[in-house]
Amino acid sequence: MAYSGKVIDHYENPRNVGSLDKEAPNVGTGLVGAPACGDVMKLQIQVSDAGVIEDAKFKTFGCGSAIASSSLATEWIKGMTLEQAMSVRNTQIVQELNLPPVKIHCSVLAEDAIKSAIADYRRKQRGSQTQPSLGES
Amino acid sequence: MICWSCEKNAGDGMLCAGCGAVQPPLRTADHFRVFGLPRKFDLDVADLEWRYKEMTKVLHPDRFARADARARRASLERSVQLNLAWRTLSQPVARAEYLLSLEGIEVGEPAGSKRSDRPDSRATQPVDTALLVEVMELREALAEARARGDSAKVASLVAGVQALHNREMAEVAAGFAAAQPNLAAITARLVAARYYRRFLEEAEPHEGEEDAAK
Repeated sequence: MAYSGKVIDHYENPRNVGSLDKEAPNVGTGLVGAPACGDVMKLQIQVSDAGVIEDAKFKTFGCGSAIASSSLATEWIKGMTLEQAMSVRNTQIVQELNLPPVKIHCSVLAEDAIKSAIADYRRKQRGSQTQPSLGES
Repeated sequence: MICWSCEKNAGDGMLCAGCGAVQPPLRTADHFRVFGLPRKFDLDVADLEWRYKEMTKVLHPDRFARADARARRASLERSVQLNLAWRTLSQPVARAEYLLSLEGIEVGEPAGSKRSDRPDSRATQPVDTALLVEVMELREALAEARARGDSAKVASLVAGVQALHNREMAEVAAGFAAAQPNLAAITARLVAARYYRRFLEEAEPHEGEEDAAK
């Protein structure tokens, strides 16, 4: 598999690898998997009171393209509002990383992980609407 | 089918029932029919292997070295079909996935296209989420054990996941054995088995990794 330079760069120097406290009310966790290949991806966001993603972390167990896709995704969504992050499309990741057709599902996984993390955050916020947010900004 | 050589009814075997000339493969034959077996998951692999070896002997290229071009071509096409059928049916995972594909189910496809932007989509897949959490934890534990160079822990994780994989495949076998197989449930088991298999592939020691871990 010939990877593009950008994929190799993200694979060798992944940005934002790690975990955030998944119990924290201002952290949303997205966990997605690709049944076709058995890869798993976790993407977490930490959201400020103003609704801006102030930190993002990921852990991906999969191929180079899956790691690069999630690394790029965390890099992009940092500083975005939730609405902006919701509008990130896998096609943008494909374009930026020059992914070949067989690796497009890796970018889909990253897009799904962002949406899943946002959905988790929103669910938490709905559940604790009466409590003051613990988020620091 | 009419034999290309004697132009009489050839039957549907490898060789013409009348003149013994090798026949091109039937386009409609599924992998089970290639071996003359019923379409079911539970099969005797030793018997399958015996059939495969016997048929391979009949189709051996040496036997067609000086044969008619049509016979050479037919024997080659038969060999390709036979090898594919053998590779698919001799492995339980491939056999199970093939049986589902005959029912129009591609393992990994429906779940892979599921999107998380519908608020309820994750709620409707509780098993899937639990599986992902489990697999993520296993993968993290493996990465940590490797980083520490803890080969005993790696071995115990591998043994544990191998047992999980075996459990899923036993459930797949039981699922197919049911009078009315629940194909959705069998598919879910196969998906889980895939995640476990991916873990096991990842856990296999690669060259030089032992040293790198120290």
